[in-house]
Amino acid sequence: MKLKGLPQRVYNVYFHTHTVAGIAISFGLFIIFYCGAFSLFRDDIYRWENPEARFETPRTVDLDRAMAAIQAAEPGLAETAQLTFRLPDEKNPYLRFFGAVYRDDSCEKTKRIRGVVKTEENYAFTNYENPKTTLSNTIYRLHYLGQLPAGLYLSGFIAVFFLFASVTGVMIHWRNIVTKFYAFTVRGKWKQIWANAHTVLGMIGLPFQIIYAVTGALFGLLFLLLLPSAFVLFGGDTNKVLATVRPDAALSTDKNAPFSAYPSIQAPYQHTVATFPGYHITSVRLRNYGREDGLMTINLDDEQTISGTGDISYALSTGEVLGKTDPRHKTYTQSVLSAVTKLHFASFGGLLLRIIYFVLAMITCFMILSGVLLWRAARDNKRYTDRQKRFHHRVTKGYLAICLGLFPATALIFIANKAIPLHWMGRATYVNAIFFLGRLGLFAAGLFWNDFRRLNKNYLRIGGVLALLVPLANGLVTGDWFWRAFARQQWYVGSVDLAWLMTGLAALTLVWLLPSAGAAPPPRQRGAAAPKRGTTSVRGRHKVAPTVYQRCSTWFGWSKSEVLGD
Amino acid sequence: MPAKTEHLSTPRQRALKVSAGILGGFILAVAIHLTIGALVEDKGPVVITSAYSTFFLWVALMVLAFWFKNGWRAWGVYLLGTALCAGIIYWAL
Repeated sequence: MKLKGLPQRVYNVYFHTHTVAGIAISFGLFIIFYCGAFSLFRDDIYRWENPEARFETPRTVDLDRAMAAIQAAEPGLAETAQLTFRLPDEKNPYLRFFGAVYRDDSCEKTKRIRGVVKTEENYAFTNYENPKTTLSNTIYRLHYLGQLPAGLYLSGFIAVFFLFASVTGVMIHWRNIVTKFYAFTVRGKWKQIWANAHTVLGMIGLPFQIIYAVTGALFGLLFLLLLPSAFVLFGGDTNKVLATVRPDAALSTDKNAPFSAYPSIQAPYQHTVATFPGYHITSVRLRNYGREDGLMTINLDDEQTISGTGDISYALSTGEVLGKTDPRHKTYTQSVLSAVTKLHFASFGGLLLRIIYFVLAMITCFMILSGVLLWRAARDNKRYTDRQKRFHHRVTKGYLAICLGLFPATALIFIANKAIPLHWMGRATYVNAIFFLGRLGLFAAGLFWNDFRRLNKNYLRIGGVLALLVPLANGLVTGDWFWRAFARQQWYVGSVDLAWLMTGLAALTLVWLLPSAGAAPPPRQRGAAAPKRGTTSVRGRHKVAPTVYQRCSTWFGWSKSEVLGD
Repeated sequence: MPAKTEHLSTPRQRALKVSAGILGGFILAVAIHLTIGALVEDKGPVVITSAYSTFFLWVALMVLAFWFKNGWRAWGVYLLGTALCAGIIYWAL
């Protein structure tokens, strides 16, 4: 079935814009999707990451007791700043605190502090200025390119151009989109295989990719939208814009309000627990704590529905409810931002949904990769000069080295997280250094592997071996081998190990299954120059390698005649 | 498979279309949303809808900019549209 396509000129123009926009963003986009896929589980891996957190989540917390412990440990707590508690949940058993302290007696400059209250150790407060572990946070920050200056905005722009590339992609493939979908095959010339993979996987993942392009752009570039609205529609007051979405943003506090006794924050908390049974309280925010106009806002989430978040605000001195967003009766305006957030973070359907999201993110990664490989394969003909072809080869090689090197590097940071002793000062810095230097090293190594197939297999091999070392490192260092963890019902610890074990086995199986040479296009002949030392001339090893099918059939003991019945 | 070059325009025209799509498209997309916001009484839903619809409109205008044969015309249409929106906002507020 052929659909009506674009006119000739427009088709070619969009083809070109799709190619240029796609190639330009692909480097960043792969990193964003890959790290984003891992970040879906960034809470789930917390107990694996931090062996000290491998205990049962407390059922109740006493916020007043926690506050007293924090005030004892951190004198000069800045009441006028926002103080936030994040409550323990199934995945993270700690009561986390984010706030600020005054730098000196004049109470003007403040310094941010963060830490955890260990409810199981008599509510002792530990400052996390230099946290012991930042593994999942490092990957999460890399997801929005947070390690680069203005990385968040850059990732926002990448998301916008991703939407552009998706739209133009659908436009140019429109004519054959139905036929291609049903005629999917992994046979034929490499150009055909990459084209198939790119269009069909892009088609399957399209709704998912549109969601991520838009929500990602929103998180990165919200300021671009809010500022004009604030200036034109609300007379320059950004708070008023926020107040249309979140009622608590409209509540104001006075910096010079008179002091009062420290009120109880446990009472409003318990009131919320009683008012919203079945909801998980995610965070508690305090403003002007210890002043007469002190405020407390409690955020809740049912973690099951797309608009299941809400909040309730109390006046601390009287306990009066000042405003609330009831998750059971939300207006459109109140729902949008939480729906967008939940769509992006996949926090509305439990673990299964996050696994589906993970698979779709990996499909998208493959779609991005196949696009670049298609770009090169389509230029592997007589219409291009050798110089141009060498350029295409170099770009693709660099690109593959950046993208495929991420897999071994991810396994490496998990190993580093266990290999650096927990009592070392500033150990998180070492772990991150190992990750980024390892990543750089893997990238540099990739530049020496001129044959793409060899490059791919090398990364898979390194990544596979490192992945197998992850459960080993955890078992050796913490003693929580995954079978023991499962026996003790520490699902979050055991499943991380098991996932890495399976990943490693899968990667090594793939290496074994992939033919060493044969169907792949020969690497670019580097002009008239002799092949560099260390690069194998493909012509030299043109022995016939078994196909994937043949390897599979020997593995399972099939013979071709049995399967085909002849 | 790569696009046939005879259908593509000159670098100068390309620069015009790219800038019209990215910059002009963004300004017009925001201006259209602000116009709707200025015309209705309840601005909350418009502002919150614009958080995602602006991106759709922006990208649509980016795509549209390449449909024009002449990049100057793309810029002209986008600027005219923006001016029209600005006029309505001025009159409505």
